[in-house]
Amino acid sequence: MNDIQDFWDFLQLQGDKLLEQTLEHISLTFISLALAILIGLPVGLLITRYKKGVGPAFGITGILQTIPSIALLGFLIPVLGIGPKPAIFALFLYSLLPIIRNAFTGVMQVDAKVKEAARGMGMTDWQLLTRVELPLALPVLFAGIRTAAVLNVGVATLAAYIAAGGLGEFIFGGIALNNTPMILAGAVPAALLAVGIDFLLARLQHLRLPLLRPAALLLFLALPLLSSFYLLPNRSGFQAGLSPEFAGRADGYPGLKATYGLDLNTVIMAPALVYKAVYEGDVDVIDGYSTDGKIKTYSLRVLEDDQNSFPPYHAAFLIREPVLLRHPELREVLEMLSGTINDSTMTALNYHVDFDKAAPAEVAQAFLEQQGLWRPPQNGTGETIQLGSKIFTEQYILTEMLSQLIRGYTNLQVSARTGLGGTKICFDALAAGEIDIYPEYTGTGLQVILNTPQPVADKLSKENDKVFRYVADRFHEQYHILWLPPLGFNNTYALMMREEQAVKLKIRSISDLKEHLAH
Amino acid sequence: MIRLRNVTKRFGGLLAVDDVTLDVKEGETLVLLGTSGCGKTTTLKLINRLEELTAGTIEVAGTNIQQQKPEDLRRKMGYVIQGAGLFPHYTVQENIAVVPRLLHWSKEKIDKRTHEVLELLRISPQQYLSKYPHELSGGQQQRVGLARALISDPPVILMDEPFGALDPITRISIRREFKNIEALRHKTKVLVTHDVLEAFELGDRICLMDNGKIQQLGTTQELVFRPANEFVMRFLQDHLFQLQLQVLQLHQLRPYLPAVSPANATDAIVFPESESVLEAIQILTATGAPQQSLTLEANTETPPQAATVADLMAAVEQLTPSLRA
Repeated sequence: MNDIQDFWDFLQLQGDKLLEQTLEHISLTFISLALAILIGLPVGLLITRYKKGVGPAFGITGILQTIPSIALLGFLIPVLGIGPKPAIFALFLYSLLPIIRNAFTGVMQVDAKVKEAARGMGMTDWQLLTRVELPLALPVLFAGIRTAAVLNVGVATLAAYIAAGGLGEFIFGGIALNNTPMILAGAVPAALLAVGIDFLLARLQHLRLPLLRPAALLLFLALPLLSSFYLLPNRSGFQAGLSPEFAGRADGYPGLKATYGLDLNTVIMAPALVYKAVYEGDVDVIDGYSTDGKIKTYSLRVLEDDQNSFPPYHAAFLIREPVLLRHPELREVLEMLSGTINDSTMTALNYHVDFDKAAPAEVAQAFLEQQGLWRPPQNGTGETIQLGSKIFTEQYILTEMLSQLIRGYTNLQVSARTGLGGTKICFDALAAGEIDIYPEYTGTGLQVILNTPQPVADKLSKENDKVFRYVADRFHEQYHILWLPPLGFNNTYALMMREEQAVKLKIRSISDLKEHLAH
Repeated sequence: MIRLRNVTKRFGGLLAVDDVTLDVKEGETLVLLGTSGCGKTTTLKLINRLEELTAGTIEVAGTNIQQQKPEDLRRKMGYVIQGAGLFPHYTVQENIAVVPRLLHWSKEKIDKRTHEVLELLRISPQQYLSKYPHELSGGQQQRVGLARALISDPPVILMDEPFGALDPITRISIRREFKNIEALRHKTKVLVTHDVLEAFELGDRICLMDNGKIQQLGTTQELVFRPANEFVMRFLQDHLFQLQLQVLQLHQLRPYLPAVSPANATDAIVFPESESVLEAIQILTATGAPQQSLTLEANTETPPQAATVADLMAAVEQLTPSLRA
């Protein structure tokens, strides 16, 4: 019940955004559909005359259909960049098969006697096609358009990953934030849209023959109209590309809005794409993590958070209290790393893995050796400690360091479960005792795990020590989980721009950016 | 009107039509008869170029059909097929208007001709023009199909099993109607059928085909009384008695019929002398009175004559040996 109430509240709060996303979604669906009809219908009709084309046409479109949609979008990014273009193109490719196939089948299933009569009366091939075959193929053709449209509504949700907008923005934002009302705000309208379009086109398909021709005309006139919503929202000017989580999180973009009064022209895209998007100039400013190796790869400038909008995200290991009580020798090992890694060190380590393609294990060992901490493994026979990590480079490296230290200094064995999806998965695994240790960030603990009320969080965030003490106390109290002393670096959210552009526009801090946009 | 010379059609390795030579005279009905796969339909389709010749020549009204665009050729010939082949998305009116529209007739002309043709075929325009084919019975559809072929008044009409999709009762009645349509009487007609009785009822001459070859080409009487070969004999033997009566006309029996006896003839049914003997016997029998007699119309040379069914049968017995000779 609570969820439903939350859902309504969310809809009321985000009504404008929802309308915009729905229109974008309809637009994406129908632009691609219109293109697919424009290309697919002639192809489908042509292969009724040149049968040699049937195999290749069905073969190629059939193969396209089997490419997973997210992979297809991935293939298209290098060619078409990000934004609506690759999304529309991908949807167009998916729509081709049902339209070509149904145009072909529709014409082929016209009664042979009727075709013979038409030719026998002296119709040319073109007259036969336009006056007899096409009108009689309309119900089947409509069925194909219907299939394609419903398919498109579903696949178009993925467009949000590549900054093409649509209802996927809420869905992916909601998943990233574990925010059910937000997921529903995207999923329910998308489902309604699919059902509605399916219903309308089904009505069209089952019309009586004489009404089909006007109906077809109406549909083809309506298509450009339905496609045109995309033109409405203004997407020009200084553009921000945000990952869904950042866009929705209280300490992310909404926090920036509150603190700086920053109002960016935003598009949502997959976290993996933001760096590339800013690098290639598709967008001008992105969100990211302050220690990400890609900052170096793509020559980006991290804008200074001069008004402390982003809460501190100091990294530290979390350990279950019972494990530490059983193996007190672990404390010394775990604290070896405390304070040894600063922001630029972490960025460099990440860069080695991300850009130089070094293995996290090598990078970790090299760092430990440099710090004089590395010892060869003892090949211990003690209890096995389960390490966990989230699915990004920095966590792999940290987990690897810890694993090497435990092997070198204790008799314990180590097994690592790396690549656990996100915060929630990692923390739930730790709380359930499926893993014993994983690296976490103070801000995440505060916001995502403890769900600290915003005013409290805001007050705490201004000073790092307070956050750490707050989360450490609460975790101990509520979950019997301990925070070890921070490792030293602060992997917080950051806004970034291309170095070159930042220099040109003289933007160093987020306040500068706000200044620049005000003009 | 139509001349086929050494016409051959091959489908890959299959010889569908093998060296066929025939003429269709102006105003006559030539029936292409045979079992399925004998080449009769292919022969018909060669005439309007729905199939293209492998070898040989075809002329229609003195022009080689290869020298015309197929569409132009077809617009000058009516084409009626089994099940009518009406366009399901067109009304009766639109169906009938297909060819005139292809010929760019004015709307007034199309409307006028539509009404004329429907009246000829005894279809009520008010009742049927705005109906769709699926709302019509099979027989009505076939009539509309015929109207569609007749509207542009083409000199030649090609028909491919035109009554094939109808039930036996409708079939017989529409066949009879068809024979009596004035608008058709002077057209040159080529009709394909596998139905022997239909062929002999509608045809002036019959071209019996087998394996792509002509087995016999002749008048109905020639086929019945002087079959060219074993195949023709076997093909007709099941219906031979009926066919004999069918192809004979009453006037042929005159020499063998008794002279008129006015006393008997007062309530006799009067027949035209060109009526088929079979038809006459069927009508007499249908009255149920065995002694019912008929009177043959007098013509300029002979006085009227009268006969009963028994008289007719006896006359046929006497006549046939001379026809076989």
